[in-house]
Amino acid sequence: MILTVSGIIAILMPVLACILQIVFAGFSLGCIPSVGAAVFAVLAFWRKGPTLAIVSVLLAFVQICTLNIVLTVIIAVIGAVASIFLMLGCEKWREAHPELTDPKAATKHMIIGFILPCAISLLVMYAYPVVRTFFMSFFDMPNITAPVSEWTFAGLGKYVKIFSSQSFIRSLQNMLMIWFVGGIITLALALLFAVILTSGIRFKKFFRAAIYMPNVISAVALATMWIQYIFNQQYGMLNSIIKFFNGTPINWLATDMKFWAMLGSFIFGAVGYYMLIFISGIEKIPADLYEAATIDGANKAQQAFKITFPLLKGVTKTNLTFWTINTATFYLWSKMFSPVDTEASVIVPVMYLYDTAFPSKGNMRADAGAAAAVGIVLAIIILAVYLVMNKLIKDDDVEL
Amino acid sequence: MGIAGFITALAASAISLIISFIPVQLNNILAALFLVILSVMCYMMPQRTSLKGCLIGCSILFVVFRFVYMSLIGRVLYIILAAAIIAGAIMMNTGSQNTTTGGKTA
Repeated sequence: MILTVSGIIAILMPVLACILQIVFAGFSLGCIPSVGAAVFAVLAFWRKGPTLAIVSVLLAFVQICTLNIVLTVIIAVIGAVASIFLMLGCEKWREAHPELTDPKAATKHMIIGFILPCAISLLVMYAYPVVRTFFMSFFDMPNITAPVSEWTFAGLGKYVKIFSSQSFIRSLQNMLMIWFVGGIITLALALLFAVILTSGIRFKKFFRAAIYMPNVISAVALATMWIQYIFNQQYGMLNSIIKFFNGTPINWLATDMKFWAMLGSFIFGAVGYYMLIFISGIEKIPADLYEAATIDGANKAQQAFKITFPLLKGVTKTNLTFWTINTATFYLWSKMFSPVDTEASVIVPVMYLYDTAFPSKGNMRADAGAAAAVGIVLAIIILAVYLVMNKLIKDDDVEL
Repeated sequence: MGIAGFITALAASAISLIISFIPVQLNNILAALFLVILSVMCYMMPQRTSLKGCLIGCSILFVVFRFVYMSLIGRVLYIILAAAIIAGAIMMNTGSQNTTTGGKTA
């Protein structure tokens, strides 16, 4: 009896509070926990779960704190108290029916109950923008938030537009250079450091932390540090060294050098991350393989080429995928190296996308459709690289 | 342990209720009142562990939501009160386990 009455009140009150709030005062933050409280009350009532009822109580409490009309807050308090009684009712029901509460089934439903809010928010926050971006790339619209009624169909026009733009082609070339040249250097260095650090040298932990350190520092700070302390034409470290040997200082940030300066500093920041992934892969390889190889007379280099590298295929694939995503979404370093006006030497697709969607110059018109098309092209590139890599590199993980 | 915990939690939530009148805002007053109700319910039904969990969760949420309104001294005061409520709830729970299971936990 107590279970049914409190359950109905606990479900209805938050819904009522939410509706009244929207009708009389418009949407407020409290409406979201209201819906959550009602959903968890339904789940608690259905599964007779006291834990689900606790979540409902907590959400109802959040609702009390965030609603802003007297009537709705009072209704929310009633709902919260009802949720407490629902919880007590659930516990009582469980005590009375121990045979009916299958712990495994309850766990399964609990998992669904707890994952649901996250899954819904994931759908709203990720799936919706992806779908909207896809459709936006076929339409012309005044700005990025324009309602659908203002969109006019443009077919493949936006794709034609971006591919006939010199800047976009240049940005793709730059991205390819970063991916290919930067990828080879970064992954080679990461693998080298990983092999050295797992070969049993002294101060392994210190070196690992030291190499990983740039990842902990904000990329903005890191880029500023490189621009101000290393590449500065007058006081920078590189030119100081050149001056020390009586050489002519070089303008590292001149148009023709800028790209390589940016790539160098980016690699410095990225190596540690990939090194850690390689280390985890190397540490997974069983020691017996090396012992057997040593007994067979293989030296360290042979062991590296015949055992370590072949068994790191899976990890290399992971690293390559991460690297591709990292390059496709490359933006910050480019922005830091050309902060005021986007320069052709360091432009990358994401920067082109940003400039197209939110042009900084007054005479340029924002083109959200073209920006969406750039996003879709990038997504297709990442997907294609991933699929090709999956085909080319087969996983030969160690079978234990 | 049980009674001491109850008094701690009730006193802390009652003080929260009193200071939630500055400034007078219905949400805060009712939210603090809810904490008092929960404390009393925890005492009335000592065998329900979940209720104490509710009390702890609500006291934390109360601090979270009151935080933006408060001056520094108010924030510190609320954190101390929430800590007292949590301590009270834990003491009540320990006390109830002592009486029902002879001190053994599950």
